[in-house]
Amino acid sequence: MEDKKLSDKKEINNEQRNYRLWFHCTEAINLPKKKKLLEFFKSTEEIYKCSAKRLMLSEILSEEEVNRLIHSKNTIDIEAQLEYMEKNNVSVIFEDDRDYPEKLKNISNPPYCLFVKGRLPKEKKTVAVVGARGCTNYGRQLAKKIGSDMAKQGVGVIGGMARGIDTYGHRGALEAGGNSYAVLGCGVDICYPYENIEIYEEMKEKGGVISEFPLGCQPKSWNFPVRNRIISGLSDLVIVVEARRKSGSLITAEYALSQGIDVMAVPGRTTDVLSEGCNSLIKDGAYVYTSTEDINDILKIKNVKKSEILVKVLEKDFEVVYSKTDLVPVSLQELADKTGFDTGKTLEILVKLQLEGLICEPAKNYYARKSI
Amino acid sequence: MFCKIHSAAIRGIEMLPVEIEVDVSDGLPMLDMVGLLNSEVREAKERVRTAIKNMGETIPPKRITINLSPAGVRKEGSGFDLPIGIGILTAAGIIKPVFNMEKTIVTGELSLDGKLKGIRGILAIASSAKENGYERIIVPEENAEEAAVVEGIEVIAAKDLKECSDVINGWIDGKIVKNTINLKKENIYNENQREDFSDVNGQEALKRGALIAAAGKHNILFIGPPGSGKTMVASRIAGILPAPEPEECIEITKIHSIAGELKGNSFIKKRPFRSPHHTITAGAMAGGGLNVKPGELTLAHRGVLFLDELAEFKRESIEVLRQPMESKSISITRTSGTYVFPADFMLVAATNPCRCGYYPDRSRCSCTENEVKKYIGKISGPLLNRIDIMISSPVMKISELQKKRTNETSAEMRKKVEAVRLIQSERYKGTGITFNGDLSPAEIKKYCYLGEEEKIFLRNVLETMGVSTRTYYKIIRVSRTIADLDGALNIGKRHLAEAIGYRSVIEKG
Repeated sequence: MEDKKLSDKKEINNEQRNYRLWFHCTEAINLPKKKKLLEFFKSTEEIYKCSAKRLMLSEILSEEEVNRLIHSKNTIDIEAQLEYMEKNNVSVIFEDDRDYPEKLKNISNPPYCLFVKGRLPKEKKTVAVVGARGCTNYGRQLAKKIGSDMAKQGVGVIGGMARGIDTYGHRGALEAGGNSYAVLGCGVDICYPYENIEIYEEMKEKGGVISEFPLGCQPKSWNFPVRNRIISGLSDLVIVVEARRKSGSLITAEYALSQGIDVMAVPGRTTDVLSEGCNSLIKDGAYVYTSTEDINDILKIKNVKKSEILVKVLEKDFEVVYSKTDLVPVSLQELADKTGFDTGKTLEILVKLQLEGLICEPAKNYYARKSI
Repeated sequence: MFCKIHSAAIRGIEMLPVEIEVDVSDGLPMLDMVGLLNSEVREAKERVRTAIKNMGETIPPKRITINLSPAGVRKEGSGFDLPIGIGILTAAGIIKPVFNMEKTIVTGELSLDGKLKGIRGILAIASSAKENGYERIIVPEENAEEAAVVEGIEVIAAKDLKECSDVINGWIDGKIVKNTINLKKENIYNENQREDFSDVNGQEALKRGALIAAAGKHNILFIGPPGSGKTMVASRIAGILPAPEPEECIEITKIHSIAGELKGNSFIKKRPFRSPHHTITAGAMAGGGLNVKPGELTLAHRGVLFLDELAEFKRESIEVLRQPMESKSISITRTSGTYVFPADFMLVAATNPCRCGYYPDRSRCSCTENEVKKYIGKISGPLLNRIDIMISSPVMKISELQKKRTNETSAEMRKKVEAVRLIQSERYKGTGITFNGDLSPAEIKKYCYLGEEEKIFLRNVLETMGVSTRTYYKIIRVSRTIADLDGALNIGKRHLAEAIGYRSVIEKG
């Protein structure tokens, strides 16, 4: 890693890098205008050294924008920024760097530069696991399973580190000992949402945290749809686990389609609000997830022979209760009604099944199957 | 001429003897009252003057001074009207008592035509009067039945001021009221029960939780979406508690009488069920005010305090529960002194699982896991620590509701509770402990024997479920009650397993 960083520095000299960083970090003008300016002046150094008059003559910027841009030369302290980056172990990769991901070069509107904590995905194959924030137990278990199955086969798992499905995708991969990558909608020095600090820290070591937004950039709502194009752009396959009819995950899927990347959706019951988005993707022709093999077929990974699944033989009463559980949490009351056991007995069996690791209790007195 | 009439004020839930001294002497005609009086006592002057006029007597045009002693304590309440009237009449020589007025308590409110009206807290006054050696008490008719509950003191009921003065003069015999309320234990039963558990179809889980909670006096929290029957079950818990003992009935009646909550009853023979609204203030919860009155905690004494929508209560009104839940009483300190109110209640609480109420039903609830945590997190930690049983239930399906079934009645459930309470009273004889729910960790070690196998089982639970030590003890406490319900001598694995199912999932501190 260290060596590569050094070689990067040789390619573009420090001064040029500073100009680029300034141009990228300034909030004086918006992204489309930045692109136009760059097209017009060819290099960021040129823009930096431009007089106000010449900037005005380009007829891209208004007078106010020119003033702001000139002003930002004084306000943005690049040296301090670099120091901060070094302290936080953040590297920056520009569009023409050797390390810049090939995959991203092919998408429309590629990010001008990427800030990376950890590293960029180096795996041969990568999948994105995305979905709803307020997910069900069904989505949670599946996201975890997909994450861990992929990680076990050496596939990198990408996500947005959002609450819900994204988090469980990351977590599944990390728990299986694999690598996971998060593309954030804020600066990479900010862990958003903060409750994910554990996987954020872990991903710095086993994978990476990636963002196109400058350090210290706050998680603004309009950043998130934009970063989704990077999630899909970095992946070979986008898997939507759960999504509502109107969902950010569908934006990711749309980006994926426009980038020529395969989309897969996990089907759900037609009545589940959180599966509406997925089912409509399937209707529109997305791949259907039924097992890990489906993913492997698309990624052209050889299926590993299944190791024999240990079937636990349960006692009769235990079997009765277990058979009434599902991936969707079922309440104690319903289970007691369905099995015909009294509350005390049902509860006793449920707790013992929980200890066996067969079921979990995602909400108080609601029980769901753990294994899929 | 000077005279002294004995009366009483309420201070906290105790009687405070008050002496009314009246002096009639020469001078400019006037009526003056002193002795740190609240405005309702000061207004007594006008009521008394008119009532005396309307009974056909005239107040002599002399200088009349009235003092309520002890002068240092603020006097409040409307019960001083009658003794002041009697005092004036006696001092003016219109009444010549045939009783020993030193041994008589007089209390009651006057209306302008001289009729007597009932006052609050008469039971407390009568019973303290007896303890203080008084021989008789003269009360308004409305209060007579309540006062007569106290044995060993003569209760004389009066209709109006005229009748009262005639009785004291010895011109007519006083209406001596005898106790009509049978205080024998078999006569007391939880008669409230318009609300019976047999009306609750389904929701067996909630009912089971309620039964265990009632049997071991564990505090309980119901979690469930709106319409899942939390309130329905909670309001029936008071009905499955064992009927109160006669002494408890007296205690309950005293408190309700003082708070003016008797609602037309003269005696309460059932355990109270209090369900304050979640907008309640800390003062109303704990008791207080300038004239310190018992709050909801005290009104729930010997009964059930039900807090619906627990997460919506103001923090400070919940925090006042801390002390009473430990010491079973609440002390309120004012500049006028410290008042100690009893507050030994069983806490039943209910809450929605999240803001919208439907978690984990994802087709209706879109709260994020964080929002769910935040909502439940609003519940005060120290309060949660004192809740042993937590149980949640979904909305009943209509098909379940319509199923014909015979539900257990409250009476049947109460029998089970009584049996378990009997086991407990035998086990804890002479220890000062009454219920399984009261056991401290040290006492758990002593009274809740766990076999080797059970210990290993519980250790497994601790490790796999990440249970805190506090919850660990709660599990054992609850499993003790479940074992008692089962009639088992020792706690078995299945009792533990069930108790684990009721454990708290909200861990704090």
